[in-house]
Amino acid sequence: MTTTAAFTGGSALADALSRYFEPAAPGADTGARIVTTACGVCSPACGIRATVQDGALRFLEGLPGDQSGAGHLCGKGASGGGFLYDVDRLKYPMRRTNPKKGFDEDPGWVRISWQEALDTIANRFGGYIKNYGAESLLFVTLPSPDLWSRFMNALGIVNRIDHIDVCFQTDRVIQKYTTGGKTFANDFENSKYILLFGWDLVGKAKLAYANGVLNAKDKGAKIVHFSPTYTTTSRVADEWYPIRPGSDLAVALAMINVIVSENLYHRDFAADYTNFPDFENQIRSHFQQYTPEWAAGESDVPADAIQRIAREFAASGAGIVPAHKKTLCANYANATQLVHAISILNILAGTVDRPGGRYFPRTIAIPAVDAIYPPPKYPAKSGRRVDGRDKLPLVHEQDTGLFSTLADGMLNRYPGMIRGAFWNAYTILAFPDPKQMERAMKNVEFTVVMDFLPTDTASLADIVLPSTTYLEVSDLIARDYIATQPQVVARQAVVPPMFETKSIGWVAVELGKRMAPEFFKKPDGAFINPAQLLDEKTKRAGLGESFAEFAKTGVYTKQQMFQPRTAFATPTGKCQIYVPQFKDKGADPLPGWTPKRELPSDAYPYYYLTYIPAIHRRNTTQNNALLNEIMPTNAAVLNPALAAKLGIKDGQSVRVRSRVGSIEVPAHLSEIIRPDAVMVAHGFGHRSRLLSKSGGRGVRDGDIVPQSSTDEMLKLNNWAGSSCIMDAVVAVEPL
Amino acid sequence: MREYLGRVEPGVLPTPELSAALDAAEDLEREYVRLFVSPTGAVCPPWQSSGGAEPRLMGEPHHSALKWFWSEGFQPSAANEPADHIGLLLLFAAHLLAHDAAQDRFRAFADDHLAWVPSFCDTLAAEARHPFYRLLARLTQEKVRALASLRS
Repeated sequence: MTTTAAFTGGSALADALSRYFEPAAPGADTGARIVTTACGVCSPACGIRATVQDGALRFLEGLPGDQSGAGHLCGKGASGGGFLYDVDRLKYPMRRTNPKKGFDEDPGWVRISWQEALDTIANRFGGYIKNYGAESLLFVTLPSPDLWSRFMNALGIVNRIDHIDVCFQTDRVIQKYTTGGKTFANDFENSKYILLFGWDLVGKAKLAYANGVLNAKDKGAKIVHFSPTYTTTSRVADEWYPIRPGSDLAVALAMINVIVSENLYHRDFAADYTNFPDFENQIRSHFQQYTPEWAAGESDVPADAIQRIAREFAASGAGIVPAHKKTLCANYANATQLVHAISILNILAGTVDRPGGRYFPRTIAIPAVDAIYPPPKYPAKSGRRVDGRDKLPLVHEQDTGLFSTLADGMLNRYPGMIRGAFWNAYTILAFPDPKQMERAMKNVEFTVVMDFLPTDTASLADIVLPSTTYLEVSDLIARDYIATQPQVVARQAVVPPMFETKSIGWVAVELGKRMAPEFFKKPDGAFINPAQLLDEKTKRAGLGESFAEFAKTGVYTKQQMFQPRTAFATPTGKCQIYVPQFKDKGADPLPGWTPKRELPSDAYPYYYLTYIPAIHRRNTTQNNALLNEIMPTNAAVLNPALAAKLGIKDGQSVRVRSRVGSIEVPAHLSEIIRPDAVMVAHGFGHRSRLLSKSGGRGVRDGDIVPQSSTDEMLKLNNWAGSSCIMDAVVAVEPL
Repeated sequence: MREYLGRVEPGVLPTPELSAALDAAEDLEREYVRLFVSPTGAVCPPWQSSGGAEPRLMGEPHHSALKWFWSEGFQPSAANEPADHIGLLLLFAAHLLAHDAAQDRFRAFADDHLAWVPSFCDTLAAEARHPFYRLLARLTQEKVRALASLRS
């Protein structure tokens, strides 16, 4: 292959050349080629048409005909090259040599081999398990991919924490018992009345849904938007109400009251598919107290509007109230009740798994690794949960979260219990009151962080592992955003993994070989191979003989009629409005009014709002050069009336202060926001000096949001574990 | 290291300070990573595409460098790393110098791919804390400047 003879010019030069070059492969200059894949910035996984040349990605565009993106990519997806080719990318495994951890400390990284990294991790983690039990290890990670879950299961890890409580956890907790659903798709295309509490649906640029809403509008659907700020969605909506923050619950309860007391609910659906007949008296009498007039007092939405909208929603025959992730499910302490109320509105509308409503995605079952290579019996997960999730039984059975109580758990509930930690692709910006998590991380003896960027968490790690991006990996993606028919698409690597980056699935197998080999062997005794596993999944899902073969077409849609469900996966087989199981577990069978955790006071007179701008995704895109150019930093958005009252000019630095902290940030005056609120975009204020574009820019919105404890959640009746990620009130001062 | 310096630049004898510094291999390694590999990647990222107004990996210089390498029948052994690494570019320049009597090809390559090097060396000399890298920056800059005068 590489011979010194191929390189001439003196032996030293030839020697050097042969070390770094090799003879060019025939036909090396092959010109451009197209690779189709699926985006990985967010879950709808829009189809991508990538142009590759000379081994490098040149251009990304939407895949024509794709169900999710309809041939387009949003700004984030189109900027994928900014992730792949970010100069700051983690390239090689590294370990720190400076034991002092802090954002102002130079970690003194040295490069190490993957072998050394994996051996060290296996050694340290193994030692902790042996001496302190599996509870001493903390895995801050999503449970996917399945190989990674298998690794955690094989070790009996009890402290695995994901961010779902900052996302849609309350919806999962509630829906398990109200409709039996786990995830939902929204049939906006066929909706006639779209009721949005907060969610800036169109502005968020989730193409699959934005297109659906706009198409529905073209067909004459009515859109109503309750939001304390006027957004792109408000502009598209027929009616917008600047609702008081945290009072959406009041409006929802009053709407249920109108629909039930005026008998406007879908009679057939209620009779045949819900437990309304079984608990009719309780339901009717419970909601009577929530009059539109009362709700107007709590929400600033006029009583006659609430009444009229409730009537129109019910009369439309195809009304939908989507409950999308953080916006509805994690902002305030009363998200628990709000999500239940929303579920009831959808049930009363009769649109659960019906045209125009929230429906259960039809997917193709892609067998997981445990089905393909059955593991030995997993050890029992014994030990204490550092985040206290076991105190919330209905959350605990979901086996997700809790971000919002983790730092408190590590610092106060069980200090010192966590000795080793593995972080997979989360930054501390994702937590309420991130400075607490910073403190908590510094107390952990040995931390491993795997990511594609040198994030804040990576800065505080002992070992850093460089991760691939979605453009460098292959996988099968079962669509679940638009899913009336099952569809699977291929994500295929556009370029090979750069430098020494690896996927978390590969790491799972390598750590598994060292720490739990019996769980990572195939029946023939050889170790599981991730690429081979993907082929097996493809075969068993009936998609082709190999992944490569399936990737040639890259999409499979099972043509089948959408059959609306007549039996629901609840304990009774029916949709439940009144939920006896909630009562059994010490929670409320019907949602009642409860305010958000923090209410304005003399000391803190204004509502705090946070949002995620359309051009960014959570806290992971701010360092992307293309996206950073559009929005490099954040500001405090204030209504000009409030600014005038406080003597603040546009662009002036202000201090925004809560009971747990303060941030200093330039003011941006705008009429889009209520005069009693202040809004700051999430995702900025990365402290890592290693992020050349986003490090040190902007402020952390979470610095002034109090974290939670499970005790507090129970006191506030927040038994579905909303993370209260926006639940704060503030003072504002010019600087 | 010492041997290499002795061969390349006979007049440069490692000073006691440099000797001691070379002995502390881990320091050298740490400094290498700090300057070139990842932390702040932006301190002295060693790829031509990472300089200029829009720093990135795999920009136009990567593609242009690949075409140059192919024209001599080579390609970089690390297929998944950018081709416009300063080390690869300097090594290739040496190959052209050794083979091209008229130096036309070398001049064309230098215009495309070495003009950025002196400025990179300025940054390296300013940022480097370890004497080895400061020396490396100075030597490289001197050599490249000398070659530039060859061209005119």
